[in-house]
Amino acid sequence: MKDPRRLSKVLSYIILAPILSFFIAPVLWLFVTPFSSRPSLFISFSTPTLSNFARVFQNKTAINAFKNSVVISVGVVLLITVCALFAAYVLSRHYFRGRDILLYVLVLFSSIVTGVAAMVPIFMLNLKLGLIDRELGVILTMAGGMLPTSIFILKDFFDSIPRAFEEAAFVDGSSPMQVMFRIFLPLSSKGIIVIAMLAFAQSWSNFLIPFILFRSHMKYPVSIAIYTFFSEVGVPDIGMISAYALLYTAPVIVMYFLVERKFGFSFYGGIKG
Amino acid sequence: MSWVEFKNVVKKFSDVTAVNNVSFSIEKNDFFTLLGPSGCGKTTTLRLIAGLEIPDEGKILIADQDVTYKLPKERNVAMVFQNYALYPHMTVKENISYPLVVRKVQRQEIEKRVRFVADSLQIGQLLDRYPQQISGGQQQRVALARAMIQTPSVFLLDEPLSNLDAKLRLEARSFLKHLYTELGTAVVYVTHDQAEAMALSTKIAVMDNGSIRQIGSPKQIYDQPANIFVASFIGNPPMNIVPCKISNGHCLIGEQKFPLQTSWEQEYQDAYLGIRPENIQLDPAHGDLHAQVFVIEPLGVETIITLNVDDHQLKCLVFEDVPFAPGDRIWIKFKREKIHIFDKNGEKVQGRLSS
Amino acid sequence: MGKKAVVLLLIPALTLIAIFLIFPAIWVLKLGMTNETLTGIKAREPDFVGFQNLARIFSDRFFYNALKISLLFVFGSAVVGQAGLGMSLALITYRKSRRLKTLVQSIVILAWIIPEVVVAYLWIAFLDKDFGTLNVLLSWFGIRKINWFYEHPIFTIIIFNTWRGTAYSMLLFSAALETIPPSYLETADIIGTSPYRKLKDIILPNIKSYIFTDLILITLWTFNVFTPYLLTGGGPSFRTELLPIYIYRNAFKYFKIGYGSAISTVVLMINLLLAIFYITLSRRKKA
Ligand SMILES: Nc1ncnc2c1ncn2[C@@H]1O[C@H](COP(=O)(O)OP(=O)(O)OP(=O)(O)O)[C@@H](O)[C@H]1O
Ligand SMILES: [Mg+2]
Repeated sequence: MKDPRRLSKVLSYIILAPILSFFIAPVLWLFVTPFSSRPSLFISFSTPTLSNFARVFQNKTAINAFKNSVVISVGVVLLITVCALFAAYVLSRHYFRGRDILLYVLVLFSSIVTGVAAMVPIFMLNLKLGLIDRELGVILTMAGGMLPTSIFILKDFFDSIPRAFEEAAFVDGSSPMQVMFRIFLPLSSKGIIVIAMLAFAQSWSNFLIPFILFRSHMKYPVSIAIYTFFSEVGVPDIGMISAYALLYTAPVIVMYFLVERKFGFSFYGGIKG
Repeated sequence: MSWVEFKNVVKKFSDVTAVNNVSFSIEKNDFFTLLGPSGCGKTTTLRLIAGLEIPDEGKILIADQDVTYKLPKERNVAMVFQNYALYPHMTVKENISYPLVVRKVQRQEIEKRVRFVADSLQIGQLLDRYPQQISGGQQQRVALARAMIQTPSVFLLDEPLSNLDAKLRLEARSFLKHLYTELGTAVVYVTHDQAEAMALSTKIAVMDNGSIRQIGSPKQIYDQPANIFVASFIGNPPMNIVPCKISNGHCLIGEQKFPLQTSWEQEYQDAYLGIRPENIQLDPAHGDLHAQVFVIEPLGVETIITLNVDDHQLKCLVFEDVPFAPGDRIWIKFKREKIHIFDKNGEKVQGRLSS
Repeated sequence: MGKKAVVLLLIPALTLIAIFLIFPAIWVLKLGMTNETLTGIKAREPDFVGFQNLARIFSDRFFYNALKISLLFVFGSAVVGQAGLGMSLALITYRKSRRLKTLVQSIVILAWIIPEVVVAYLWIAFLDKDFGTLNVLLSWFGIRKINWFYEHPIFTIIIFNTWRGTAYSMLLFSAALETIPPSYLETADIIGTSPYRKLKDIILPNIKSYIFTDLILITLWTFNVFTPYLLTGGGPSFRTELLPIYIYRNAFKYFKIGYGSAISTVVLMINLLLAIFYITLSRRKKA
């Protein structure tokens, strides 16, 4: 071997191979089984078919859950985008007494109050407000939990926009609202897309909040629907579930890689936590 | 026998050829400088010597051994990076001694050698500080100390002065020149500052776009540039380059002409005349060409005068008082033996027969 | 911007956060001091019981069981699994080609972004005793079929959660490694430093603060993970009953809102400690 460096390269591939297999193996099933004509729990390749997807579209519960998920996610995205946009604008551009304490409180609570730790009071709150089994309750609860992170991401974007832009506009006689819509919105479209996609991905994937707040089957979003499909007694339709799971997962994956490719992944932790 | 040798080395980065068929040889007592504009491949050449890059073609020899594919640690070189690469979590002393610690040299021996290099670099009083707590000039010395303590066969320095401010840079330059005599082995030095190269080197390689355009002593590079690129890269202000025609032993610039040496024989339709600013003499009454004073910039010791000759501008350097004012019409005269003629490709023409 | 505009713009976000994030966290303290239930008399007129619930927790063997499993889970899957594997992957791909890095990261990230319910089903399928891919593969090598969820429940959810969350640590550590100037390691290359010493003397000291950040955050998150419930439901016989699952069982299976809230209070306090630790650390890093 001419170059001793090649040895270390080969070595790293040898270590990587089993680790990557470990990561791929469980996911592979998700991309193979939906197209299998003899779907089973084992990853088996067979003549590809779309019949599993056809059964998804014939399943009323499945289709209905999809609609519910869309309603919830669209609601969360709209709510988050608007609220975060307003709040981040003020927090980035306006100093008022107590701002730093407010920011501190937001960071603190957003990291300690997880849906898991607060599931009991969240349930009781929705109960008292009469929001149990209603989309609105799920939307508000999710949005409240995700807002601080969205505000921080957006505030960071705003902080990086030089003040000279808006100062020039103010000199020309624009109002704060005009400045926000004419200057901030276009300059921070990146940030807005990021928090909107994040809000979508998180609300779309969330299991626990709808799990404790919904009662009736007709209200279930996809996450709960899939759970009932595979945890209910009886023989599950593996082909249908896998096809359904793939349809459910695809938008999240596509969105993630779109955001990643476009903006690079500088918002670690944003997508989770 | 040469100490470091490059034989037709080529290094490509995907679509960029950073080093293009470069050959040179360095003696053990050389202070060898790679000089050239940004992106011309100086650092890449240095990294090839260090073994941080592997050439696509060609051979590299150090002390007559083929090291082309050897690992950096097998080459016995030491390198000072542009950012010095001092470890921020180690004290100055730990930084300097690190190469010896890694090589498991005895504690007492390390202690002794750290003392020695610290003293010769005059940083003995800084040993317990951290790199962030000392000045840029001191950091540079610490980096040099970490290189010196390895007693390498070649020192590789990548623009070690570029992070210092102007005043410190001059000081550090003199110190480096002094230090070089103590190192007792070859130094390969990278810079884009021609003054630095001139001041320090025994041998300069001028690079452009991955190729070496000329190798020689500072004096050779200055007095006998092989091409327009080298001629105009060296000197401050750089050499004047003016398009001209050569025929009948005369040089034609615009409408004016003047005789070259008596025995000049070649003829060129498209050529360039090169003359350094200090080799132009000004005279109110007679000379080679008619000119008009455009701008006068007194700089203390010397004065730069910009002249218009037909459509061309020439800069000339004068060390006496200047009896002219902008707008004056005067004569200029070229020192005959300092005239350089380049052909249309920019290569020097050896037209001077013995006169 | 006038005061009125500031208030108007802040109100929607702050109201939502106050009601749905901050209020529950404070209210839980009070709920935890009652004997409220979801059904029965106590649902309508709960009594104030003070610290009785809290006192009961500390003599509750199921609580200690859940705490022990949670600690094991956090230590095994976050500290050892995610941080360890994430660091290994970051180091292996460090100073390698962009292509390799992108490939490795894409694969590992996939496990991180797939919705939890899908991930749960993928693992149920993967580990199924009779038809699961893992057991079928093992049987090709003559290894008997193992009922993973029954024979090694804790080990299984630890491995699962390592798989699930390694991406974050890997990304963070990769980014941390990028902050080390290449010349640091090239100097070491020239000196002839061994890979082990490079790690110990140069790499780790330079990314220390990132490692702390990572450990605190993933500990916090892992402590608050509910996904194992979808895999095991807490069983068999409470052997994978993490604290979150224990809360869920008390509040939503036994309808003991008061007692569930008391356990929530404990979890929130632990979260609070970790968060303060994290915020203090990240402030110091900025300063
Ligand atoms: N690792 C690399 N990958 C891709 N291209 C590179 C790499 N290193 C250098 N190059 C390219 O090779 C050419 C030469 O680079 P090099 O760093 O050797 O120049 P230089 O003369 O040291 O310039 P400078 O004075 O700016 O430091 C440049 O075009 C550069 O962009
Ligand atoms: Mg360089």
